[in-house]
Amino acid sequence: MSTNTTEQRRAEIAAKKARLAEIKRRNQERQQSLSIQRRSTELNEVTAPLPRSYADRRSLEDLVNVLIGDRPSSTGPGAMKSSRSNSVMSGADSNFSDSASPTIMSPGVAMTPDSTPTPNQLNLQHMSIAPLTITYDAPPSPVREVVTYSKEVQTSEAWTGPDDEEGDDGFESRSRRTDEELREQIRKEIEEELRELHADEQQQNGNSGLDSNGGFFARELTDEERAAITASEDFVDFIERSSKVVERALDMEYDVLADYGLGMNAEDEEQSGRKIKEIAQFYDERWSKKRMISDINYSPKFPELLLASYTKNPSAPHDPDGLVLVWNMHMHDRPEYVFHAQSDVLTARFSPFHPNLIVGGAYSGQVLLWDTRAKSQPVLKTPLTGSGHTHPVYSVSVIGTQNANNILSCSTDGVVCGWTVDMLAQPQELLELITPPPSKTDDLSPTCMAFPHSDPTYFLVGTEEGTIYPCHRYDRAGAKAGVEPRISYKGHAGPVMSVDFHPVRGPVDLGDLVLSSSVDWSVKLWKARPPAATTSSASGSPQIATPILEFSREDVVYDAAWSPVKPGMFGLVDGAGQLEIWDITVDTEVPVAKAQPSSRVGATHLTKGLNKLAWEEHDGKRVAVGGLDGTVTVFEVAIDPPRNEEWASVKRLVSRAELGNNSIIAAGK
Amino acid sequence: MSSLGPSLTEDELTSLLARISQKQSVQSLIILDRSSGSIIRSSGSIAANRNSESLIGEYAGMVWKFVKSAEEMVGGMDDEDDLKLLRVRTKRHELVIVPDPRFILVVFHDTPTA
Repeated sequence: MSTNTTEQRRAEIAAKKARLAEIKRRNQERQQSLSIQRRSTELNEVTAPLPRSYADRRSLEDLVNVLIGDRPSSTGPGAMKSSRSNSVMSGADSNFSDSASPTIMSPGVAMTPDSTPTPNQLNLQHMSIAPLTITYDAPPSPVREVVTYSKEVQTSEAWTGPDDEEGDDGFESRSRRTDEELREQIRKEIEEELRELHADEQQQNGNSGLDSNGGFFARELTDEERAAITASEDFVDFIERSSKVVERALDMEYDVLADYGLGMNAEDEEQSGRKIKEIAQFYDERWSKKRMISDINYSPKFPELLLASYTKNPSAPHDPDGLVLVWNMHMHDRPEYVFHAQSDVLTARFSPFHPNLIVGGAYSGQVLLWDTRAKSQPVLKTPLTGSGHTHPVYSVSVIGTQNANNILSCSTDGVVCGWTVDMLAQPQELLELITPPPSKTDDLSPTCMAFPHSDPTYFLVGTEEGTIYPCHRYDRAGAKAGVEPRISYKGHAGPVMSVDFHPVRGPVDLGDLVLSSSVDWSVKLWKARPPAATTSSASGSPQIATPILEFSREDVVYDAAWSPVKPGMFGLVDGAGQLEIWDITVDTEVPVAKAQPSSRVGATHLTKGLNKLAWEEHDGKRVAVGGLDGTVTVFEVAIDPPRNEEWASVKRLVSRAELGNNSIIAAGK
Repeated sequence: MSSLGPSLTEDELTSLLARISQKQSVQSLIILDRSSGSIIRSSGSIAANRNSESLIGEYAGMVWKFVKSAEEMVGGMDDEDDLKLLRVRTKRHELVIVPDPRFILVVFHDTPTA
């Protein structure tokens, strides 16, 4: 038991010593002269193999002599003595390395006459016998015995003579005690050593700092070196990342050091009276030039990101035809991401369930999927075969829940496809929409599609002829998949450009309100009948629903969308390049605000038209518009926080309008 | 289909850097090698001065030392942590420094007059 623990301790001590020796060696290598007060044995072990100044060695040897002189006086008979004295040294050495160098001893012998005290000298003569017996050079056989003994010897301070002759008990207790002292001592030494090492390093650093400017040297690189670095992937990667960071940093308009006590900017006050304020324009000479914007969508996850999809640039046949740029509000003249497509991209949106994914529809009929973690090519796309769309895809939606969602796409030949996000090789569901009787042709060409927020199995399509049809994705009781034949929403005299369900976010459910825009210069408000209601009222003759409100405009209306926060508010963009903000709780005849994007130099009125509009969904204060000139313009809309009455007021307005319409219809009959 | 490997050509790289250096407020732009501190690229008004060579070298040295000590500070607080961006505002300009394991990008630019 006790031997075990002592063995352990011994091992620990040996390890510590080894570390210490390592540190010292490094020190030596640096040729820093260390003035260390240490115990003789230690010094011997460590410094013997290495050259030292003679003065040091001398003082050392004195210490050795003193120590060695002490020892034999306390030990017993001469023969034992000599063997022990050897083992003391060799044992000490063997703690370090098995090769005990005789040089340790020889200086001791040589020094013998030098040492002054007489008893020491006498004892040293005993010592000098030891090397003659040659046990010193003897291989490890005696080492085992010796090692245990060496502890006793090493603790020379505690070694006060008479104790030596005691029994085993005394030996053990002493060895334990001295063990602890020893450890303490070694710890101290190591600490001291480390401290000195640090000091050394600091000193060295200081020195080299003086020499070489803190390690910095502005060496002129040769052209080859420079070229090699510039061509390396690391470098390209670094530039790509860091230039974005810098541009964002530079474009950040807010001055963190602004001192509002120092006087006000008059311009701001003048602007604050306006309802809409232009806050950013996105245009990239390289990518946006001569392209038209076909769609805009805000990232549902990052309110500062928005995407715009573009048609082809006819004057750049080598550039990809289709393009999706992701713009950052904090980086104005360069897109955050550039995504390519082989054909004009007609629609694109962020997946609401995965912030990295962007889904797009192309003129070629392909549905494309890009990933912001990948390069600019789409990570997935549908094949150009008959299995999916063969006509342009003007509308895509991602429908479902976080864990189960599908991409729904709709092309102008009336085909609606459902895709899984993981696999675009083949549609999961395929639906062919046919105009229900009584119409002259079967063809139905949808231009836009919208899903209600409450029901993923049913949707509305706006068509080129102007009618809006409800459709079922699946067969259900009393209704087959496809266009619902019993009801249609007729009112527009020209192609429908957009259909938008009211976002349900308030105390009153307005999710059945639908806004549609058309090239017939109008926006219409509809109340969509839930599919269940239409089935119950199925009496044979198809119903025709009429709009409950109409907003006539002075130009072709290309897009209209509900505000995500204000129940009565929506925005529209028209062919004259106007953005209008309406609030039906305020006025149903005139918009509450109007604005026009500031045009770039060289823009003609032919390129003024605006195609698309998108609200930022988080606080509904920003609206982005884009059109023929390829510029995305972001406006800030000054809105009061929505009040609860507004929801009720919209509801009242709708029911009043419905009544009015009904009475008109009744009067007409 | 363009290659999916190294995504930028030399030209595009140059134009990326040119975009930054051509911004109105930007005075100059330096790219340093992280380990040696040698200048890989530099451009802008400081570089165009008569004493440009030495001046740029001097600036580079100062920035390099600054980044180093900032790194030490960050490392000292948490060795798992890394330095990502340094913005140094002075009365006259701002330095935007993007450190990276291998390179350092430094942009000197005028601050909006406050």
